[in-house]
Amino acid sequence: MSSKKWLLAFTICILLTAAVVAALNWVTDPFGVFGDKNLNWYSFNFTNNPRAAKIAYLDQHADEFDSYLIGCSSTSSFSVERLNKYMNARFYNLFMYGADTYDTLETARYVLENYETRNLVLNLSILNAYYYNYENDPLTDSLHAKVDGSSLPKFYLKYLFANPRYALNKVDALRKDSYLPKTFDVFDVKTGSYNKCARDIEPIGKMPAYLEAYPVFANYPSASYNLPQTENCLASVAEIKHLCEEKGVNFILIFSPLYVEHASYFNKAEVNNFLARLAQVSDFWDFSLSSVSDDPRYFYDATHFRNCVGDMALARIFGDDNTYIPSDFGVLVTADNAAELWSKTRSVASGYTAQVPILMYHHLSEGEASSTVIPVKTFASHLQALQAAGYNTISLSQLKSFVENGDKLPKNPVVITFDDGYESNYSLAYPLLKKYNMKATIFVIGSSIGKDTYKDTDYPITPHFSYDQAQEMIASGLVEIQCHTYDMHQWQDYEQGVARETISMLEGESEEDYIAGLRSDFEIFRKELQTNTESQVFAFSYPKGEYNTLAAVLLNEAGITVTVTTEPGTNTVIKGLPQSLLGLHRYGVNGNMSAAELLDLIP
Amino acid sequence: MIYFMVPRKIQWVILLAASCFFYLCSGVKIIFFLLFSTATTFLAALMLGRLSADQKLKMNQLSSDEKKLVNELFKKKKRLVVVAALLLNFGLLFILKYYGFVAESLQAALSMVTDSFSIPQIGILLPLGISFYIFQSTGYVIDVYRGKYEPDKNPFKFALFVWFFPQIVQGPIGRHDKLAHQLYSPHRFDADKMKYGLQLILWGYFKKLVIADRAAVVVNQIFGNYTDYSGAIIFFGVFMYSIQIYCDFSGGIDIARGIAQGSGIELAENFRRPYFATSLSDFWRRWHITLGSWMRDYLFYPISLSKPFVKLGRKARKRFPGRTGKILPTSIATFIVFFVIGLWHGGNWKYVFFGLYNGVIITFSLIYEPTYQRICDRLHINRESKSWYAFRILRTLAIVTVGRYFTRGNDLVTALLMIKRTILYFGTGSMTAATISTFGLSNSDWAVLIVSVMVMIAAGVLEERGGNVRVELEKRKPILQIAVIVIAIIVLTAFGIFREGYIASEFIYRQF
Repeated sequence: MSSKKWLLAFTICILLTAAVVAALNWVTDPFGVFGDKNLNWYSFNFTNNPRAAKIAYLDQHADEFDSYLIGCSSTSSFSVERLNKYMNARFYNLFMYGADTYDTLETARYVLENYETRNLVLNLSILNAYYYNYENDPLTDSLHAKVDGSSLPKFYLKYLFANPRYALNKVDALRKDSYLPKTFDVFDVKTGSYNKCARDIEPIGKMPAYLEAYPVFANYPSASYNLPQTENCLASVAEIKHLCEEKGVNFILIFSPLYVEHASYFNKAEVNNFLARLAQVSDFWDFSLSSVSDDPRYFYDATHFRNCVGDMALARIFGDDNTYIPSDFGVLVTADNAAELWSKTRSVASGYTAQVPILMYHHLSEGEASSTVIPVKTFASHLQALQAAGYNTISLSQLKSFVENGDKLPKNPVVITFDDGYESNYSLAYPLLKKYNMKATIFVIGSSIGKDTYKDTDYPITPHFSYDQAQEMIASGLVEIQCHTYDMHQWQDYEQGVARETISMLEGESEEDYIAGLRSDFEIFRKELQTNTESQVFAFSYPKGEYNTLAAVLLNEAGITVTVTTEPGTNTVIKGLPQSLLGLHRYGVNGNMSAAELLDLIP
Repeated sequence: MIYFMVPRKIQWVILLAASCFFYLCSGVKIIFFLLFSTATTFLAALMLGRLSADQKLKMNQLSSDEKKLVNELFKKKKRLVVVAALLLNFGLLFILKYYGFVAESLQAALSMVTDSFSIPQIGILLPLGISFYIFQSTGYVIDVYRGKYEPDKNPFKFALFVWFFPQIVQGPIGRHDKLAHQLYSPHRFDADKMKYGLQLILWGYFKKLVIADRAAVVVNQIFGNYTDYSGAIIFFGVFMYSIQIYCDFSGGIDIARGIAQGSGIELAENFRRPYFATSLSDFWRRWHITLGSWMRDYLFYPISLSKPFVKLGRKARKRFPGRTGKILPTSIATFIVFFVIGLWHGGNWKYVFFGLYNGVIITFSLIYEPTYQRICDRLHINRESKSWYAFRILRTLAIVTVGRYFTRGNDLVTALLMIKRTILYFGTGSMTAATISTFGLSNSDWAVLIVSVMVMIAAGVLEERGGNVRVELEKRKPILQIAVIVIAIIVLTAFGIFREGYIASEFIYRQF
């Protein structure tokens, strides 16, 4: 082959490759800039480049929204649903991870000019005074050309001839996609926020465990950085405010809650100067430092506060009394009160956590004891001993309202629970609870309520109480009936096929079937309980204590806010932190356990 | 392409314009240093040329006694000019590259005595490829001083010699007599050269993007967290770095040479399969050849031929009769050269140590060569055998790899700690799948890396045996040749640009 022919072949190959790459990028559209008509997977596109992809998405969907949240990644934690409720609006969370105020300003400008807008909520973080117009990578960090006014053809060419790995990754990710967010699709497209469902169901309790799970908090480096971009940041904020005023758009400025160690990463004088100057630019809600800042459990990581903290912040701004808000959390700073506000010293929070042991009983009998069968006399002695030792039994509702609304708990709280819903709970335990005026929660298996044979068979089982008996107990105000699944705690001996002994996924079961099965099981339970007793289901006892992230997420979505396991231990519950109600530990009470032994068990 | 379309006479202007454009793209500030260095060396050479001309003119008019005097005078003047040019250029290099290092070291030394005195620190980013063009232009001045050739009269043409864009990032360091006329003279489009150029570019990108950037992931992980790994793994990391640095550097050179070749310009060869070297000195003749030959011509020979050294040589031979005496002056010169090569890499003690390490080994191998041969004879080792040849290659590779602890380790102390760890906690059993997974490469990336390295080794073996991959390819059927093109392009687009995104991969040697 002559060299000329070789060159011709080479040129053709190059052109063909370019054509293939362009076609691949066009069809899979890993950044969403071409409209992603084929895959329509914006959660993936946002993850690659939220700046460009969110604008591309909103260009198609702007009529669904009339208000926007904007800022860097911590902005994700402000709930769009709450804002919609408080402001009677349709918000979209247009946050962009790593956004500096240049990104924010240009994006705000584009939104105000192109979308019908009623409200604009701008969230600032301390890092906004540190970085400005910082672009690391032209594909993943760049603004949409429509937003920053750069050349559109160049912009589209850049993505048309982007590294084909992005396109291939998208195809590959499509195959690996699952219900839970993966690293490649961390966004919730409908709201624009991060999909934090998996992190929002992680059980949180004692501090050492949290620090061990997230060492970033324990080993936070110390530094004293300046805030070199203070001027640029303030100018951008002023410009956004000005643009809003021009268009008659309601403008709200928020300064993010900061983890205390992260805040101390920056020169204190510079931070104070920045906030004081910010107050001159606009009134703003300052959440930067409060008792929340001192507790890492309120943070996903050093720079991101949790969704529940965002909820508290919005509740503060909109005066929502139904949500717990620490008294020192959040204040409206104006040019007039700024100096006075920051002269105050920060108080140290106390009393926002509680230690709560939970006891787990099953069946009671008038006869012999076994590991799960408690003689009624022993049970009575347990109740007497608890009372004598100064313990106060509380319901799970009380525990829930402590966390969610900040309501008070009695001293030395303890929770008594029964699993399965045996008739003995009604006939033997309930009279004693009445006698000592103590509270308990019973987790019933929906399919066996009122039965003394196994479901639709003739196999005899320990009798279970009926809905009427349940209703009677609930009416006393001492007993709560909650969920132990409808029919996901089966007995293999009595089942024809593979029994579902726990809520874990069965071998060979598809994710789709599993999700549908779990949802419908819970839905049947919820409906039956509500129809028969009018009580709401909010607590769930995992059969055999087994669960997985997906199940926990699905239950959480279905309204379960308290879950209990069979792991022994005392629980630390924390006001404003719903995760502290999840995966609660319980001390399994043995039939041979004396009252003294029981008291030794719990702190 | 434009290059071949414009009138042949101004082709070189296109090259200059392209070089300017390239430099402007990488920052305006950098231009200043480049201009400074170009201007000083150009003027110095011009002055040297004029002095030589004057000298000749005067010589013809003078008697022999006066001749000697005038000769001396001119010699002094010329020396003054060349020293001034060298001082200015290396002074600039020193300030930019070594000031921080020297200031820090002095400060450390001072702090043992007093705390009150502090040497100011300056923070300047090292301009792109500065040591490469300073070496290239000073080499030119020295050559003119030596009367090797006439100075360049056209400042723009000279600028092209220094600025020629393919070589400016990381060499090769060109010689004026070899390179300049190629740049200035017209070139016709030559399909063969274009093809060779493109092939070289593909090969360079293959080494850089497919091999080096993958190896870099492993290297960064191991060097960054060496305390987490056993000695065997650290050694493996250093070995991977050897692969990375070779593919990175020689890949970049291949790309540069390929671009030049496409327009008919041959840049100097910089690598000749260094990992097939049979001794450390052989390695240095194959690795970064243009730097080595620069050092040889402008540092080693001037030192060893200088008066004090010649004297020293005589004394040494008297004091130590036999081999040692003969070798001593050469060894000292070698030592100095390697010290400078070490320093050339950067202002850091680890580089000084690296230079000395190489110097020591080469010197010792010179001194003990007879002993070594005697041992071989005793052991009845056939020095012609293949296994002996293989042993020598592996031995050299090991020696070179040990040197890499210093060039890649964060600092001298870290490098020494890593060596200590390698020896004391070798633990060969620790290379488990779990450990390998911490290196940060997926299984498919490992497969790509291993296959690619094997392809490279195969090509190396073929060329080492006197074969030529290009020629071999040309002999094959067209369909096979096209298949190679297709495979190359697919490999580069699919496995190249390894890092996510489009971050242009940085070449390691540009920092030196």
